[in-house]
Amino acid sequence: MSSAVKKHFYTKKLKLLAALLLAVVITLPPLVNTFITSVNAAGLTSYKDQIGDSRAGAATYHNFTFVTPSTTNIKSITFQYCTTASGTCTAPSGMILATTPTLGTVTGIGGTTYTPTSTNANCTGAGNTNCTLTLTVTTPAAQGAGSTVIVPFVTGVTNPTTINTTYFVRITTLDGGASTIDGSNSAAFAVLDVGSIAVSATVDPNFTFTVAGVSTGGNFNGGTGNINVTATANTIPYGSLTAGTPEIAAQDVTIVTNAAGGYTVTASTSANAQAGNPPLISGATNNIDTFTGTNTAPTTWSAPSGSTANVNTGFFGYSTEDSTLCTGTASRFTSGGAKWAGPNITGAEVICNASPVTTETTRIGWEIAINAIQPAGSYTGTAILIATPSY
Amino acid sequence: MGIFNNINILLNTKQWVKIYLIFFIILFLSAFQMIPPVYAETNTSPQSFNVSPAIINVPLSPGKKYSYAITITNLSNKPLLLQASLKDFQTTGEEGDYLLEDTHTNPLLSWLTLSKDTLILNPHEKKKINLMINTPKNIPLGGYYGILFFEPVLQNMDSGKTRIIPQVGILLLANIGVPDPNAKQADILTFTTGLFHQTNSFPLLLRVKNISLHFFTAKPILTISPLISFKPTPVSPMYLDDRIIFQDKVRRWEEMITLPDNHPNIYKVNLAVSTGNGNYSTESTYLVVFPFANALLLLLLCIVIAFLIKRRKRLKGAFKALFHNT
Repeated sequence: MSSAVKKHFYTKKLKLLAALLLAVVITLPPLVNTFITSVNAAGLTSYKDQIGDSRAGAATYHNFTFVTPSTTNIKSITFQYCTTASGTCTAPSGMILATTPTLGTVTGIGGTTYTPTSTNANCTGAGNTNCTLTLTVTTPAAQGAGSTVIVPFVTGVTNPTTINTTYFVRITTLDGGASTIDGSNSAAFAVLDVGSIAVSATVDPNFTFTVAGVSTGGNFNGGTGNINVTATANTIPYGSLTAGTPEIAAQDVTIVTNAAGGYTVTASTSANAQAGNPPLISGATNNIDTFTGTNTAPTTWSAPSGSTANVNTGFFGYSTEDSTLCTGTASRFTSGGAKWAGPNITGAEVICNASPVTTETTRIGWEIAINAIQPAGSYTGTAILIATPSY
Repeated sequence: MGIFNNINILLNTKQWVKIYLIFFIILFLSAFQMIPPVYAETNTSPQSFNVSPAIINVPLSPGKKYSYAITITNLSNKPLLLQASLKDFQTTGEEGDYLLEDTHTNPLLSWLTLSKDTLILNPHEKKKINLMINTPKNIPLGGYYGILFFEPVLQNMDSGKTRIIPQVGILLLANIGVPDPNAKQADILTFTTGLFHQTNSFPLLLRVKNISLHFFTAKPILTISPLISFKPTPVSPMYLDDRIIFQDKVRRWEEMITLPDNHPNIYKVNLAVSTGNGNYSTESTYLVVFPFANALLLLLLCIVIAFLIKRRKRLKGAFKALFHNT
């Protein structure tokens, strides 16, 4: 092979490689990033200064809250009061910091034992930058990244005296060598007037439980007009049962709660005098059995086929239209048509929501069926719907 | 014909009009009989009541007395007779299940008394009852809990009916003493995000075990930062739902997490589980977000382009020949 031919092939290979490299570099931009030194993010987030009294010249608490992104041991935190968020700091006129401010419970910092100090000055405005609270951690330790730090100065701070003005606190975290870890970040607070209104409110978790019967002709769990017994809030009057004709009743359960963890409603039946606690009984021996499907694995309704009286000659079961249950398979009662489970004396989840709900209504169905061998009698039972806030 | 003639003689025009009118009214009404009846689905007498607070979570000290007011409101249009009762519960599984027990093995229940355990509420009436806790002087530190139930007392019913009893539970949680601030409160048993992901969504599985004597509210905080970046960007922490973990129990968080940006990158996921009083359990992992399928397609495209470039002279010749012949 001549050198000219070799050169030609080399040139072609180089062009090919260059084209491939160019394509890869253009199409995969993150690879470009590998050539750039990474710099860790810094800076406090969600910082705020909550004050108890916004009146000018009022002595009040200053509660500082911020989120630190760093796990580095915090040795001290400075809170410098200024008239501006950044740039040269001018201390607010009339602000007074006590020699030894008192602290509430400090949280979110990894270390232990906290000492509050101040510049002990009557901050006199222009030219005075020395208006700073300091929290010193005696035994620093690492905190989790994203830790929410709360530093409440309960006493020792008197508001500036100029009304209707916004002031700023520059928050900086420092390590053992007095080097800045994060900050400064400026939180604002306002001094409004010489008078103020105290506002205080507490919202307790509350819970509203409503049960309403559904009339015959209603729809249940994908069926149309399949409810053939009118229930009330507290009763299911099935009436006279006919062998081979299932009866379905339903109730609408409505929950309103602001509980942070949401709520759960369980269904169960009460214990009774018969062995195994069948859900419906008549006298000492006759009973209607619990349906064979279970809460964890509900099944399509099947007619009772027992050939010995009181042994699977009658079934009682429940179902729910909740397709987002909190445990097990969320849609186990609704997926692929209505599925049914047999109740027992241990409660099992029928409705659930892991979040607070303004109003959530869910329909629960109760089905009963007997065959020709079920002994005649008047059958009674008690089903229990228990609603509890989730923890 | 003779009969009709006789009727015509008996009835005048006005009477005929009346007969026609009655006939049409009957016809009109009978038409309604053919339309299936429409029922209002839900009955008009729901049973509804509200309790507040629904959760009483308090720190207690040995040998002290506490009192908490519970407000119950009848929201229905009928009077309501309510009965209060206390029950134990066990936690089951990792998803916050209750297992109610009629036994009173948890000591908290024996420290509680109610100002009254039955109350009658008129329609839309609100009443308060007091829950008093009298803690003994010598009790072990730790977490104690139970449930206070309110249930309507139903009148005697005819046999042949199935009764439905709605109960509302108020969760009672109490910690005696304060956990050692230097002691570890929780173990992170599982923290997985999966390593490779096509998109910026990934499944998170987190399981945390309480190894302290007290129950606490755990709040997981995720901080996800890209390892490869043009410029430093602030990383906002993601806060997952608070969950109470009882002593020696495990709770699970299982959800899809979506990253704030959707650029391919390697991410470090820092987890800090806050267990209160400034205590955290931490863990970290890595994940790679990269559109592998798209990258494979692009690579194939590059190979095809390279092939075409390499064979362009032959193709050019082929095209020339093709157009020349045509």
